[in-house]
Amino acid sequence: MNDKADVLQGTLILLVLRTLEALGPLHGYGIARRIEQISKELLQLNQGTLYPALLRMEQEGWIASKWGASEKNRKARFYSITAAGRRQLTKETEDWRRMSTTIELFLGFEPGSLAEEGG
Amino acid sequence: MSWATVVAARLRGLVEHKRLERELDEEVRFHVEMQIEDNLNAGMNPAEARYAAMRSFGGLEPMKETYREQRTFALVEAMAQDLRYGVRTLRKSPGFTITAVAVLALAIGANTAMFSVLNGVLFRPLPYQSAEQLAMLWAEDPTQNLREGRSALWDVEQWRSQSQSFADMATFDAVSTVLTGADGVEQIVGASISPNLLPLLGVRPVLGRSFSSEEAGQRQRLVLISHRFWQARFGGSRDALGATLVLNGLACQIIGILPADFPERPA
Repeated sequence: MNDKADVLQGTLILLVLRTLEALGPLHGYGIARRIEQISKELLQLNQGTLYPALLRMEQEGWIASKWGASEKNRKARFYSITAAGRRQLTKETEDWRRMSTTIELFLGFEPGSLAEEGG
Repeated sequence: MSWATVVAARLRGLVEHKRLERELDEEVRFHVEMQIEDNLNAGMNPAEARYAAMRSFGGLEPMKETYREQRTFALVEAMAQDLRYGVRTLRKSPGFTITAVAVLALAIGANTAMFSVLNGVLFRPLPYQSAEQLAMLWAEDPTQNLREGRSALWDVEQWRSQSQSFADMATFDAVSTVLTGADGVEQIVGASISPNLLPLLGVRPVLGRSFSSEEAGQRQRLVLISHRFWQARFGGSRDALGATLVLNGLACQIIGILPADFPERPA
């Protein structure tokens, strides 16, 4: 795994949790599409990396998964956020805000369009 | 708590290896097919749609590798894989397997033999009382490159009376001895010992007695014989006590029999 993917992995969890919180149960492809839609120009998501991240989050108990029928009536695995996942989301959101504020202060940037993408 | 749930999940992963692998395949296939459909709807031709879908998904095998590593304890699973691979390889080349096993067997055998010897010689305590407190005293003279040399009895007496580090000091001096018997002359191994040696080692004759200091002072010619010598020459008879042996041409009286477990070479 290269440096870029590593950085992505930490934020990926935040993005997935946020997506599931906002949209309710989704299959992996739906999560990937949603993340790409919202962050189209900013994030280059390697969709495959989503699945190890989903596995890890499920092991941590932040999300739960269930096999069900997709919109086109095909078998798909649906992920949903758990109570522990919501707590984790709150925590990671705070961490992320604190981190980005710190870095923005450090660089002397005005909080601009970048800040909106997290929330 | 978090690490505990992760460990539990991974333990499950270890058991449910096959099912989880199949589920991942299914999930990935679903993902890619959905992407292809969307690409088709966006107006791509089938080949393009498929290619674009694969590209946006990224490397499939590296992802699966990461997934597997995370699913369970990578080390355990990798070890099991290595083991299976090893067994398969060995089965494929029996000649090599036999050679390897034979080499291992020889090596283990050699080690065992070596250890048995060392165990007997170095590790097993001496069969004497307070064996851990026994020390061997030698005279040394580095200028003459003399090591483990013999000491004069007079020196030993001085050490014995002046030393405070040792409970007692006794001497033995292994000497080759000529025994003259009815069948002729033969050479045997004997040792001249100080009267306190046997009490110091906690050894009691099985029959008869040991020397006393008075007898040593009077330079009486008294001997104790080994258990084996007793059995061989006297058939284990009590008559051995008081019998006479001619050693180095001098008549010596047998006063005791050493126990069977007394080493014939005391050092």
